[in-house]
Amino acid sequence: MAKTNLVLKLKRTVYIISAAAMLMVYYPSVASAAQITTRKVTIGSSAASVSTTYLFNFTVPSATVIKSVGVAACTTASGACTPAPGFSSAASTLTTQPSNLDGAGVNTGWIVSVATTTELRLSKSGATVAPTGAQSVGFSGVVNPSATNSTFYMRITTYSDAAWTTAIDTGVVAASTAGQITVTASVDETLSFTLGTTTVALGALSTSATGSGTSNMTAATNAATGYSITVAGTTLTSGSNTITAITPTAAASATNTKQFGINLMSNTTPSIGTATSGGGSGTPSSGYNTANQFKFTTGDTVASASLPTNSNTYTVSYIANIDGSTAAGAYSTILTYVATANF
Amino acid sequence: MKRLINKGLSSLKVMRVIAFAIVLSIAPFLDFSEAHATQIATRTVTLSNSAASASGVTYSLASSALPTTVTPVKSVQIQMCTTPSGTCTPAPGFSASSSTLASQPTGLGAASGWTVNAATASSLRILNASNATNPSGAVAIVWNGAVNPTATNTTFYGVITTYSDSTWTTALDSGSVALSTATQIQVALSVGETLTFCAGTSITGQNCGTIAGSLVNLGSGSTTSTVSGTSVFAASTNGATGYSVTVSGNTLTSGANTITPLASGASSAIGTKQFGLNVASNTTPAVGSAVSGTGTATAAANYGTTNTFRYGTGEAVASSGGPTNGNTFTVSYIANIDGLTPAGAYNTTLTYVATANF
Repeated sequence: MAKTNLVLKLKRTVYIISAAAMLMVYYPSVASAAQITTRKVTIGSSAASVSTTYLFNFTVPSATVIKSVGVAACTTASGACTPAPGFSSAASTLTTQPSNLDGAGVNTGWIVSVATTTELRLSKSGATVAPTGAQSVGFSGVVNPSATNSTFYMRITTYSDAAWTTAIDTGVVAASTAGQITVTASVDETLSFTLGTTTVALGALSTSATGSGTSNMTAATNAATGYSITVAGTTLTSGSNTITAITPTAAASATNTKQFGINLMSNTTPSIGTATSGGGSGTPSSGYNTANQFKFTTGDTVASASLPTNSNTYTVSYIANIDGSTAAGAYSTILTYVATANF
Repeated sequence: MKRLINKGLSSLKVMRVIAFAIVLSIAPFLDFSEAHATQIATRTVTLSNSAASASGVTYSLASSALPTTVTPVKSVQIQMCTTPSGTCTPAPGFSASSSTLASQPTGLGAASGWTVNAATASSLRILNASNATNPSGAVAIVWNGAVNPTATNTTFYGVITTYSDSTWTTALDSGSVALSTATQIQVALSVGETLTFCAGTSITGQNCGTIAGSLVNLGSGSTTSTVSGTSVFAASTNGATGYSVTVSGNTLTSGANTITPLASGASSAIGTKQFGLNVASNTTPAVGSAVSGTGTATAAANYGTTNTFRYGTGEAVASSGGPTNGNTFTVSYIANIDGLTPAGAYNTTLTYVATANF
């Protein structure tokens, strides 16, 4: 009987010691973990569910050799970790080798484990040097939680083994997803075209002097291939009498010759006109782009731009000459300028 | 028989003598003065701390008036007992040994000259042998440095007595008050790391629960006016060194065409290709609002100047240097075009990222 009691007592003692040992195995690492300081996580993008980068900066207080690091994404800062919905480390990689995790400088030999998708993990079983200074660990290919404008918590833990079991230090950082802002603006097709003068009086013509006058027009467009301006109308006409238009080739003004022509230049013979002004890229067209050379062919293009252009102001110079046989009369014409943008 | 009678009488005498001797011997221990004391009508004793065995406790005696106003009070005591009447059994653990007067009492006559006597650990005592002024008005006496009884959640009694002498002997007025120690309640709260952040186009106050919207439509660009719009973001954190908010993304883009970002910051210039933002209240154009909320966050240097707009991807637009309550920032966007700006639908998606520093 005494022997039986002794056996029972021994059994009871063994059970108690075993239970105590199990408790020591499971709890000491957490209980002794110290607080990681100066810690933050910088997320490449705060958009929900996107794949982005996570850069952790922190300073561990313990001088124990670190062989693995885990960062769990949780819905709360403490207590049992409920994984942040949508967060995934399944495709995570190390952006670069961590800094100061096992010794000074940029370390080598750290590898990522993606077996636990709710946690970012890296390890180095061969680490032998204690951490120093401030640490940084960057991951790429991390998928953000799926809830927009939602806080989640990254719980950082360092371990003295390579299996994320025996904790050394811990620290929590809060992070947040956020709504992305889409900014839009539309730019409409534009063509601005204005004529500054409606009447041009060339005066009383003579066989010894050239009659002249000017009008001006301004054009701009954002059309991809710019614009062209054409002129259309008849030559100077009085009833059935006309002043001969200079066409098809431009020519200089010649007194005592029936001539009607225009150009978009600054001329000296006669002294009339102004060069094209403005910040645009528009230019007078061939036939109308040589000083002292005039032409008038209905339907001709007199100015154009080949690209989107800011405004240019063109001065159109009109000249007319008559010979001795030119019938008396009031000569006139109505010219129409048309700007066409090419989008 | 006579001898027996004489012997009986002699015994009776002896008993009388003995009885008289007993009465004489216990007379000093009988407090005859109490028998004449008048009840103090209104009286309270307030403890600054009810925790058992707490030291440095302040006991404040207050009474609207003493009933005896024709005799100067020269000493006062409060005996701390386990019962309100009868022989006082000192409340276990109570100690007046380190008691002091917080200030000179009022209502006892002399305005000064009162001192503490801490010789009797179970009684709070003061005296003023030279007081020749009758008590008048409300009485207030405050002792510091007392030690509470040791039993938790236990009633004890303060027996208040005023005396016409300075040796706590000849009582004038008295009254009892009931007191009690109590268990202290420990309320625990853990506060974890926090970062609250949200971005959208509308919000109520700083409440991220009300954030809504994601589209800012600037409208149709013009060479004669500036187009503008706003979005909002709100943030708070308990991070030791605060937070920063950065913005990233492209400038306004339509295919291969872009609106030039104001990389160095500039005012809005009509007729020039410009895209920029700030977090200020602007007048040219009239867009935006000042930061709101009780937090301490501010706009970043390059994004907080009225009428100056800027855009550089990855740049910080707001930050706080320490833990901060919520602030709401209104982001103002402006765009201008020149005559060359190709037609098209221009857009960009901007991402705001908040980083808290714990």
